[in-house]
Amino acid sequence: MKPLKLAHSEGHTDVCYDSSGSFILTGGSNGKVCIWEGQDDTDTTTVSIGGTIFALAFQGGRFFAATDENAIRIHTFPDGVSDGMVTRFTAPCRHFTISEDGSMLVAGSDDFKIKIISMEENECICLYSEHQAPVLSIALDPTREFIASSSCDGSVKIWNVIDGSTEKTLSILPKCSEPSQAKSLCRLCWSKDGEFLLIPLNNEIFVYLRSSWEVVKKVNNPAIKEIISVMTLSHDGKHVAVGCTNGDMGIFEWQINKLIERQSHPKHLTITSMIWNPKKSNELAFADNMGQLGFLDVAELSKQSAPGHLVNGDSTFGDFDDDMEVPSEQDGVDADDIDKFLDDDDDENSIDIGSIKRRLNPLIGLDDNGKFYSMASSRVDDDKPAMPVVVPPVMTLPDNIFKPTISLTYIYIKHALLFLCVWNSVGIVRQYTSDDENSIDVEFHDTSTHHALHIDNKLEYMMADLSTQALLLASRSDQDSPSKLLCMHFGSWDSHKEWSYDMPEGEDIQAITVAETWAAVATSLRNVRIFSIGDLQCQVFSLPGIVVALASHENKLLAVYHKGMGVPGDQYMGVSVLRVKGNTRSKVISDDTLPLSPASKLAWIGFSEEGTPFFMDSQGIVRMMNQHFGSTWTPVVNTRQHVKGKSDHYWLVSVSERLQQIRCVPCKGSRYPATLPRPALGVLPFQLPLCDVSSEKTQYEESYQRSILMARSLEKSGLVDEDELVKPVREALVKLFAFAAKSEKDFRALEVCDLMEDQSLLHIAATYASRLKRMRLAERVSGVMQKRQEEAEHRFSEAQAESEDERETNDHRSLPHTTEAEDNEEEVNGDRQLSDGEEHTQTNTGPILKTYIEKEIKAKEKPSFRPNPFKLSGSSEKNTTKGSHVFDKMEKTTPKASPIFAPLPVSIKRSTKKSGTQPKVISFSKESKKSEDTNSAQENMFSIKSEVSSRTSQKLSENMAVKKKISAFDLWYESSKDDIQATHPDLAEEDLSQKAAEGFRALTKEERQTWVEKAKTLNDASDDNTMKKRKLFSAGGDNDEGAVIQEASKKVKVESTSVKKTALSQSVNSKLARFAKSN
Amino acid sequence: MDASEIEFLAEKEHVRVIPNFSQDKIYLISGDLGPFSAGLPVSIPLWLAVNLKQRQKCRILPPDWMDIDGLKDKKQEEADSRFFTDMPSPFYMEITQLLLQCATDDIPGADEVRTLIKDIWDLRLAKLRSSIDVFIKSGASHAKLNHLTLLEMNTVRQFLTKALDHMHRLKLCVSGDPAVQQ
Repeated sequence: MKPLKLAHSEGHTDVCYDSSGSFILTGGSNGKVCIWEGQDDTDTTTVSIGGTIFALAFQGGRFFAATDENAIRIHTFPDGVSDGMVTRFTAPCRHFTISEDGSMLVAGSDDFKIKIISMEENECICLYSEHQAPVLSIALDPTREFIASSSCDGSVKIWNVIDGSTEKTLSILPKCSEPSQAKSLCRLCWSKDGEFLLIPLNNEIFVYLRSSWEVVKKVNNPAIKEIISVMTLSHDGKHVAVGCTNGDMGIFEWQINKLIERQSHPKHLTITSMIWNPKKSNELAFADNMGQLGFLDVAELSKQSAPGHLVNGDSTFGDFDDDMEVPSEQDGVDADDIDKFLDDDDDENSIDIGSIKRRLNPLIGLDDNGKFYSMASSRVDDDKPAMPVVVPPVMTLPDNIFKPTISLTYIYIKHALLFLCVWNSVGIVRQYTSDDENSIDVEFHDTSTHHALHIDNKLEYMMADLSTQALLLASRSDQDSPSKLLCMHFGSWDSHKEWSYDMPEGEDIQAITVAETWAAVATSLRNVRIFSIGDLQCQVFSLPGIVVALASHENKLLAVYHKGMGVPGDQYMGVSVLRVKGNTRSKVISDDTLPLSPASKLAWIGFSEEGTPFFMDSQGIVRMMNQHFGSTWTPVVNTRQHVKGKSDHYWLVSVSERLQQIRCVPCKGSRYPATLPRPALGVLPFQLPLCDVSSEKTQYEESYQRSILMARSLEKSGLVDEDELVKPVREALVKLFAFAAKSEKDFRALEVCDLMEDQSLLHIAATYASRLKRMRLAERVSGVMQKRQEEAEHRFSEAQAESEDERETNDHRSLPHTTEAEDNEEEVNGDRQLSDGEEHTQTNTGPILKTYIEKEIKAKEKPSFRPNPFKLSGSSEKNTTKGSHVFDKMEKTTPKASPIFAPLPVSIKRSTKKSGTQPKVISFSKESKKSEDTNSAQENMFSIKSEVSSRTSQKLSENMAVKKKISAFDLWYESSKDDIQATHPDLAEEDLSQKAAEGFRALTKEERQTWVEKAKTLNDASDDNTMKKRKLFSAGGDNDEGAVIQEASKKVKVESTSVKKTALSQSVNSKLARFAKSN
Repeated sequence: MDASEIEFLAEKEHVRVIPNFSQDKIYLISGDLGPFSAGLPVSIPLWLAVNLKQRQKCRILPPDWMDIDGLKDKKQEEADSRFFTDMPSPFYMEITQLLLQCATDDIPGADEVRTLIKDIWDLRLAKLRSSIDVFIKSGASHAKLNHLTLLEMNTVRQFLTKALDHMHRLKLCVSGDPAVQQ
């Protein structure tokens, strides 16, 4: 061997050849890339790249270097000019590989991630993050279907290039805490045809067969005693060179397990990199951990080297066969010839016939799945001749059974591991593992729950869950000990705070959960065992699939399990929610499918504080179950919208529906929260993903949808006051309506009205519409109201029969009290309004008495309808105030509506009454007799004129509307209309009525009195008519007389309202509000 | 106004804490606080935070500006600028002082934060003194200083106003104003 060349300072050194094989590039810890021209070059060119270089590769006239800036940079060759960046990680990239045609780069990093980067688009086409420790090395399958990667977590994972789903996990490597601690760099190799995967393990190479992923052969030799660190396959695919930690280097003809060359590093330093010369098949370059570069010339190989055997990217099964010119007494293993394989069986006793059969099965029956996969793989490299890629159906199951709120965060503190097991709304459970200590720490958010716990973890518990009453721990089984369950019931009031169980033979705990009063475990035999918190075994039932996660809330258990095979990349998980405790044990959700985002996994599942199931997938979407919409799942938060960096994530801790927020831990550059320093919880608001988020309309819509979703979900729970739930819904609706009406989208506004559930809202809408002069809209809104009214009436008549008797009794009992209350209130209001001059005059105008009558009726009716199921609660009336406040605010932006001649407000007014207390109006038909009786009491009331507020006068007009009363003003107006018209011929009708109102007010008290009397006599007559008509109407029959009366009274109504409107326009809203409140 | 009064004002600044107890809203004259739920960050005035911390009822989250890199940049900016720079908080010195007194364990790199804040403080006071020096020597009657915090003003106020007053009297004497001579 030639003397070594010192290229770099001490540390990991990487070496590669350029494509012509005449230049050698080395990169090392001094941050420089040295370019050597051939073996004998002494005058090297150096390119300073900076920092430390972890990995180096050459492709297409450029070289790629992974540096400690956590990036892979491109430099031109030979100048070394920077030519951009391929990708960036959050931790150093230790190894990367480029496909032979240069279209794809695969890089693995210390942040546990592996990226596949398409070089043409220079973007990451696949991110693989199944590893739970830094990635050591990567190998790309020549057929480009799989990638094999080794990691410090002791696993070699084989996963699908297209969708990143794990094909196979081999947990064979020794675990280590970080790459610098790793004894072996564990470079992996695929055989030339991709049929075998070579994995170095200690001083042997294990050969795994594709698709069955079982060891078919071990390549070893007594001469290689130390751990194999690096390994590289020759370009013809027959030889594999290995470099050991003690500096031993060997070249195997791996198919026949023959060591053809063995050399030793002169100083016995660890070999960190080895590479074959692409043009000379007998030359190898290597680098050691002291930054030295050396070369191996393989005498044995120089004999057989022939130009034809050089780089052959397009080799298929066929020509691989032809290339087999192995100068040995044994035949090489033919990749697809079963007979030869079996012949070799005597010599290589590690071949498993079963695995061969398995391998051949798909070849024999090429099923749809096989076709699908071959199509999929040809998509990646369609420039290559189509290869017969046949793969059996792949289950895309995650290897690690995921537990809710359990993660594996590895924190390296002096070669010890600190895991975070649980972080939920109760507390944090951490596991601390080192050589001499193994313990579990429990910390409670609320110190009043319990003091912090420190448990010696001798039994190696792996899973934990925490509730306010107990801590549940579970361990996996191993050869000699069964899977164990331990419950520390710290909430117990007796002295026995612990109980434990060993699982039956062969049953392994896979998921656990604990609630306040019970605990559940799911086992590998698909059993779910339920225990009471005080150590009673309650129930055992079976799940339909492999359990993924369990979660609990009060008496509900949620189980997520695999239902079967998803489409490639997707998970197909089922979810069931069961009531497992209490009197009614039933399924709440039965075997529903969990709607995960495409190609994502379940990241968190659990209940909100109020008990609704929520889950988050690995794409960061949080969904909540909507029980009022057939148990569908609604996305409520996209946590990805809130992250700062691309690789940041949120770790969900708890969800509060009441506050409409999720509590989560922001994780910088990771999926799991750091344990030190302790991150603070963040709060993210719910936001439904509606289209066009920035527009005002969407904001109102979103707010409505969100509030209604929450209101529906919470109304059953009884945790929250109903007012609190309904208020935002009403506000949102009113805003939505106002927005639609203002932007002249009448149809949409009417659609909004359809969403309004109670009449008081509809009334607000109608008032608003008429104030905006949207007559058509207002008309339709009142139409909607009428329809609702009829529906309610219909429903009421059905329900009425039952409640009638009860009502009667109630009626008499509570009448005096209510009336009194009304009167008191009236006084208060009256006092307040006395100061308001204008309104005061207004009160004197009409037959105020009617108001009292109506009140009387109301007072009687109110209690009588207590048992009515359709009665709106007080809360909704209170909210009317809120609603109209909304309008008050809006008024600032909208031009104030002028008094207008409108038939509509009247009908609207009429429904005001209906709206607040629907059944009352209905009762008019029923109780008309009663109202007539009270009519006779008007005279008495008349004297209390001064007390009457404009509010009542408004009510009066409503009353009129209902009963078709004629006011004194109407009579006067009728008679003096012509006069006024004559004096003001230029006035429009509405102005005219305004004028008339002024005129009427100008009349002396006596004059007015006479008109009032007249009106009264008239009204008494018309009252009877109206009542008759009403009776008929409610009986269902339509009658000519009724129609005529209606028409006539409508006309009068019209005029009276216009008068009222002028006087009231300013204060209607506040009055309405007060009215609603007082009700 | 003395330093303790300024500290009182500073105690009204809000900081975020993670309580380890649960409690409904508390209603105070200055406004409602809470609700507190264990483990969830909540914003409360400094005085309450300090009190809770002393009773070991909460963990204080340091304000955003109290991180070492940010303060290093700030210090550099302060050193590079001829004028006073805007401070991240009008009570930066007081808040640091209070938090470092009672919640050293909650603040990452507490010692370094203390040093940095002290450095910034020294820089600013040096600037203040030199600008006063320039101001007096130039004999100007007024000057404008931006971004001074209350506490910084307070350190010079008593002496400076008195001194200016005396100087004014002396000047009048020199100019022979009879009113002063009497």
